[in-house]
Amino acid sequence: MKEIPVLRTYTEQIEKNKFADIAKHLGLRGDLVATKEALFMQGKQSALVYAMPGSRFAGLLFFTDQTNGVAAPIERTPGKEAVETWTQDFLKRFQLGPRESSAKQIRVSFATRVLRTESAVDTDKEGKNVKRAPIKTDVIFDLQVNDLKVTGPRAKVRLTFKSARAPVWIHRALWEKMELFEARPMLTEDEVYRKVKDRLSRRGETLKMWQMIGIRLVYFAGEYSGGPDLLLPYYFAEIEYRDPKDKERTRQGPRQLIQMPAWR
Amino acid sequence: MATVGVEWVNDYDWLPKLTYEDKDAGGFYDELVHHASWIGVFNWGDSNAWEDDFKRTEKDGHAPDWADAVDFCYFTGHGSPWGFYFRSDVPDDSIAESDYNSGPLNGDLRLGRNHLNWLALEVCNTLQWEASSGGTTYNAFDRWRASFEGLHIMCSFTTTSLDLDTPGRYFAALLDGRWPSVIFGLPEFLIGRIPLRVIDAWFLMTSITQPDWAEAAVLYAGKAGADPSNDYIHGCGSVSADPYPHTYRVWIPHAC
Repeated sequence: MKEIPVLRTYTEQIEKNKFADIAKHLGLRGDLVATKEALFMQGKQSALVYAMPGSRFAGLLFFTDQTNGVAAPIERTPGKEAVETWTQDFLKRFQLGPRESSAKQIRVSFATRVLRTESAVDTDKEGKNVKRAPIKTDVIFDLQVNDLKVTGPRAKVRLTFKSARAPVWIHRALWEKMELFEARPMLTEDEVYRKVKDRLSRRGETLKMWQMIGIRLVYFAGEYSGGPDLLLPYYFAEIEYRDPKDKERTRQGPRQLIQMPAWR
Repeated sequence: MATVGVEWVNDYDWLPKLTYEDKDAGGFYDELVHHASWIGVFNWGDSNAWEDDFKRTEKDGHAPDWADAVDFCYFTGHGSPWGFYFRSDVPDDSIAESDYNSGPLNGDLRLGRNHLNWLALEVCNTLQWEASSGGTTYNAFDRWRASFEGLHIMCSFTTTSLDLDTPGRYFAALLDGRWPSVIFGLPEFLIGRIPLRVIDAWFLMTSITQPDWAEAAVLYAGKAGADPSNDYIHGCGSVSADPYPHTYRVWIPHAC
C-alpha cells in the first residue's frame, strides 16, 4: 500500500523591526501594534498585518491599500516583467519567499506566473458590444511539495498590482520550516470515488444523478486550530448533478467541490 | 438604519446536503447586526428558505417583501450558471433562475426595485462567464443583466467553491472594518475599524478561504452619475445612487 507523508510546518515569528521595515517599504507610516496574535500597522489608506505562530492564520502577511478600489479602471495592466521584478526584490529583501526543507524526504518547488485580469463591459442590451477593460495584474506562486500542489489560505502567495510601482494587495502565507511528521497509508482515487458514491447515494435511488468531473490530490493549508501545525493531503472531487428538469441534459447542472482526506 | 437578510440551505431534499451554510450565512448576519448596528430582518434556513423570497411579483413571487426589502442579502447553498437552489418542497420552486434558463426573459430576479443594493451568492458557478443550453452559449450578462433594477452589485463565483463556515463572517468583517479583530485576533480598541469596498471585500474574502484554483467574480451595473464599483456598505463609506436604468454592466473575475 502506498504511503503519503504528513508534514509538520513551522511559521516565522517575525521581529518587530523586520515588520516595521516591510511596512516602510510599502509606504506605511504609523504606530506598530504588537500582540501575541499579530503585528499590525495602519497608514493613511493602507494596512499591513502579520499573523504570528499559533494564530488562526499563522504565517499570513496581509496588506491592503485602499487608495483606489480594485475595480477601478486603469489605462493598462502592469507589465509582467515589472511586477515580477518588484515581487522578487520584495521577497528576497525581506526573506519572505518559499524555503527549501533540510529534510531529505521533502522537495519544495515553486514557479511564479503572472495573470492579467480584464473586466468585461457590456454597453448594449443585446450583449453584442462587450468590451474588455484592464483591471489588475496578479503575481501568483504555484507551490509544490514532493510534486504535489500545495494550496489553501495558509499556503498562497498573491500580489495584486494596479500599477507597476507597488502592489495594492499582498496575501503571502508560507511556512518557515517544514519536516516530516509521519507517513500514512494513502487512499487511491478509486477508493475516494467509492467514498463519494457512498456519501451521495440516496436510499431507493436507481438512477445515478451525479458524475465526478474532476479530482485532484493536494496538500491543503487551512486555518490553524491547535496542536502540531500539520500540512495534510486531501482529494478535492468536483461533482456535477443532473438537473431533473433538464431531461435531455443540454446544460450544466449544479456542481460541488468535495474535500476528502487522502489518508486512512 | 441599514438592513440585512440571509438565506441558506444545508438540508436539500433533491441535491446533496451541505454542512456549514447555517454558520456561513449566520456569520454574515451576526457580524452586521451585532457589530455594525444593522437591523437583521430575516435569517431563513432549510425549509424556511424560499425561492419565492427572491422571485419578482410578475411571476407571483414576493421579492419586494424579502430579498428586495433589505440593503444586503446573502444566500448560501447550491448554485449553477442558471441560478441558485432551494429545497423542492418550498414555495415556489427549487431554483431562483437566471434568464435563458426556462425562457429568454423568464428569470426570477428583478432586484433593486424596492431596496436591495447588494446580493452575495456564496454558491458555485453562478457568475461563470459562459454557459451553454441547447447548443447556444449565454454569457453572464445574458443571464443576469435584467436582474439589475436598482441592484448595485452581485458577488459570487465562476467555479466551484468549498462548503465552509467562515466566508460570511469574514466577508462582513471586511465590509464593516472589523477584519483585524475577526480574522487576525487583534483587539478592536487598539486598531479601530478599516472598512473595505464591497468588491474588494468579496475578492479578499475568497482568497482567505478558498483554494487557489477557485475563481470569484462580481457583476455590477452603472450609469452616468451612479458607479457602484466604489461602494462601501452603509455606515462605512460612500454608496452610489441606484444605477437604474443602467447603461453599462461590468463583470470582473478574481483568481482566489
